[in-house]
Amino acid sequence: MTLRPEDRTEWILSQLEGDGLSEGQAPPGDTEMDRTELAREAAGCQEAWRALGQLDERIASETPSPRMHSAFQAQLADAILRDSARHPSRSRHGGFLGWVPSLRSGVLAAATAMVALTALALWRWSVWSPREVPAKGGPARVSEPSLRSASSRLGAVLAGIGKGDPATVGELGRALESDSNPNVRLAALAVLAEQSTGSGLEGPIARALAKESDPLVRLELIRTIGERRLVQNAAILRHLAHDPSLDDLARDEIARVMTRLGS
Amino acid sequence: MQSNSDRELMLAVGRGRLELMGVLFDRHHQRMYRFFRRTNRDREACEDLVQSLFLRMLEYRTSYEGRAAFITWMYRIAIGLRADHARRQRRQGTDVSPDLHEEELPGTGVAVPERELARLRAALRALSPEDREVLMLTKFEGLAYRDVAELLGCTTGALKVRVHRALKELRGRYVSAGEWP
Repeated sequence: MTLRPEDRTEWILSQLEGDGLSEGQAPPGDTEMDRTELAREAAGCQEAWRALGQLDERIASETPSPRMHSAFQAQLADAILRDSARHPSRSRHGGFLGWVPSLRSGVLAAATAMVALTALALWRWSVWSPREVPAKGGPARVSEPSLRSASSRLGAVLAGIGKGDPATVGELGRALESDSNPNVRLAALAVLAEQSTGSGLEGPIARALAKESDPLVRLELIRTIGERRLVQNAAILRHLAHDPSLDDLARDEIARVMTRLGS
Repeated sequence: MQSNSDRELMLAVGRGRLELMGVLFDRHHQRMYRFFRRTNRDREACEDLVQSLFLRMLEYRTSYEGRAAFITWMYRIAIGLRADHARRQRRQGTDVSPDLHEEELPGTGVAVPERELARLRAALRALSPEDREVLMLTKFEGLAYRDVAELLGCTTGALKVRVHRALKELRGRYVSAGEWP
């Protein structure tokens, strides 16, 4: 009896993740010719399958930035707060903080969770509050859920101002150095890195790095130095690397950036 | 230890335990980031897409009834989101990145030489979107055949035939552009 097409497919696909066609997995088929032909086809598919894996090697090992995590936390916290406002009686036992232990480190977890609960409120006051003032005599407006990160919001606000505008760059630098909200500082850094180059970026980053205590913001500052190849900031990185209070994540990042800068 | 299944967590989110979406995010954000990265060279855009995905899941939380596997439901939303993003890019006239963009691929030290990978990439791009999607979901996303079949709305048997056909097609296109390594 001739092998059915679905059985051929089944057998070929069963070979895809194997190391090769071993004797124990001899192809089915009535004649030697059938078996040889099936084995050849399976080997071809297996090679294609393996090569596809190599094609994906780089992306399969890539990880998103920690910034994405904190931005999502902030948005989730915002959604929870809005939901709580709509359903005040709903129980929150074991709530928002219940999932943070899976974060990369305890320090980072505590910092980012705190940020998550406060960031959106502060952010809205600093950026969006003019749009959310309740109409006189009317009900308070509830903002629509945003699908964008804080830096995207800030970028959108600044889109009409023009890239490299000195006043904007100055304001971003001030926000990066002194805003009390780490999420705002992160957003300011992201947009500043797009708006400015060279010394316009090195100065604010050096000043911010000298006094930054939030591990996530510090990590992004270090990363930005590497990504933008701000060689003038290498000295401050060298100094920071000797800080005994520095977390391992930042220390590793400094090592990577110094290598990249060739220092 | 992850004591709750994704399905149980998502159902709890649907009942109002929104904070549990954080657990699901922790579990799946990396794989979904890579899912978007495979068709988009802009890392920041992919990070935004991941956030949008989980927020969209939050938005549609009551629509998840637990009949489908959570992973299938999540990928279905992700595929829709990716299509929306691609449409938006086309409308804005911005470049829609090709699959498995070239500059991000492995350079030296890999078993298959770079020129072979380039040929393979070209062969992959030459496949129909359906064949490419089937290969990407089964190979790159590591999804089980039954999950991909559910996602694409076909039987497992039909999916296997499609994978087999797509692999043959891929190999054929590759071989026709040169010799197999």
